[in-house]
Amino acid sequence: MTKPVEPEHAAAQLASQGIAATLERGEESARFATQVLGNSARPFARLGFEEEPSGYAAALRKYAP
Amino acid sequence: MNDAAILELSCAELARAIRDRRVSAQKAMEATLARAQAVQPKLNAFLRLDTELALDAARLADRDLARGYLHGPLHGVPMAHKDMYYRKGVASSYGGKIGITRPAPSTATALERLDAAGAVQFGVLSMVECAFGPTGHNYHYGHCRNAWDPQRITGGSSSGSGTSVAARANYAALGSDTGGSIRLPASFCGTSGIKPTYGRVSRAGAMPLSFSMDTVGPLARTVEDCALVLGAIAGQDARDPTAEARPVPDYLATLARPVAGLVIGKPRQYFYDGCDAEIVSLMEASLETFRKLGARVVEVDLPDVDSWNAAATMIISAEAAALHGHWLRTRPQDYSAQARARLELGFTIPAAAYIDSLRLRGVALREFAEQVFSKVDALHAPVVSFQTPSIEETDVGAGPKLAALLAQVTRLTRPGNFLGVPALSVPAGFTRAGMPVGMQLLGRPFDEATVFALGHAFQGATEFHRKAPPLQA
Repeated sequence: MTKPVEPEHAAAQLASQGIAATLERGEESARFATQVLGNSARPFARLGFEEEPSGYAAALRKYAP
Repeated sequence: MNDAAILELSCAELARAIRDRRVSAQKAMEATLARAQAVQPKLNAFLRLDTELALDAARLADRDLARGYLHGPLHGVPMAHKDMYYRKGVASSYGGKIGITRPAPSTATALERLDAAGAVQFGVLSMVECAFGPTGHNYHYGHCRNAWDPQRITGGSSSGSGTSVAARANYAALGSDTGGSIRLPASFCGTSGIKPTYGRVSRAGAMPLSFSMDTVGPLARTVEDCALVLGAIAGQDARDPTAEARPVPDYLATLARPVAGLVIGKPRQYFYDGCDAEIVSLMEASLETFRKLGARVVEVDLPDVDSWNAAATMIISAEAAALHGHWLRTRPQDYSAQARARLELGFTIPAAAYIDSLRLRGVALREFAEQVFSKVDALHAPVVSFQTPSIEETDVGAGPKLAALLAQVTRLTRPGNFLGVPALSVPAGFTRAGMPVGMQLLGRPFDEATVFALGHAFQGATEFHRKAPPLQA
């Protein structure tokens, strides 16, 4: 279960990376982060411990005819 | 042959006509340039026309052919490309201001290969800023307009690629597809377009947006044209370590392979959720055409495709933010408000979530291949679920409606990018409003040949791809 990202937190996160952010941008960013982190929680929870990003390139080759 | 007849030829037909000396490269270039200049005020498709350079190159092509020297299968064919493919010494705009101070140190591999095949580049095309938007709006150089109705969107981000080819002002154009940017303009503008398998075409010298998802491919009048151009640009490249080493098939030779016996899947989930009734009807009619061609159509269950979209979004957003980070800090004023708003979102993605998104890709492809491609040779689906909207109604700027619009427009194309499989968009008919509608055929990894064969057979049985927009120059 993920919790919503707070706009102030998102704005601070942008600022800490050198991106000037208004509170409005913080709100947009918080909405975005809350949505994608929430929607990905279920598939991420199913990921095997040993799964690596390189598994993708291997799968591309494996399923080519 | 007069100019109108030359402009109606497909890319492959023009290449044959030039080879057979029925049309000179110079005459084809003059006709194309005149058409491009005539439609530009209505469509805003071109960012630059290189008139003199292109005419000189066309004359050289004619002289060489007269001496018996054929450059390649695209000898003398005029082409213009999305303004994100580097040409040594020339600055690409990337559809905005960020690129214009950066003369390219070398030429994109895809352009080098088109040059070697004999194509003659005559200009560069409008695109969505940084290739980061699916509608065709551009706040720096003006919105690109659909050749079928200039009040409506072209789709993006390869907006100029779609509308210039549809308007008979270009024979084929490179686009790029990270979340649907080839298939969307192909569908909205009534052209064919192939998003190849990730790694099938080198990305060297192409402006990156998301290096894990970016693909390079053509939009053209016909599937045969797409096969011709993809055959010219695909293959291993020392400049791009992700470019696949496996040999490139002769796509033209396999185009005419029989489709009788091939199995086409119609998805039971996801792709028809909330789909416009006219589009559903056109999709069903296209499946019926495939049945008549001898293909077998079966319904298939999909894995939970919807659950992958957030991961795809995180990969694109995080990578785009990293690539543009320096300029977002030092030149934020050089981005439009919309592009800046989208790019900044990537800074909120935690590193672990980005890595999990990459880890999920292999799992997703395995599930999809085992559940779908074990039963069918290609999956058939609409490219979009709604009719072509107007430029005005989708002009949401950087406001709160942006996220919903982006999610809606790319909903049916993004799974193909996350999986990385080839996806061919083919005109499948017209709505009552007279706007084209595309279907997409998704194939197994590196099996562009099968989706080309299906698309080519479909175009042999239909006339949708031959219909030109009623655009008066």
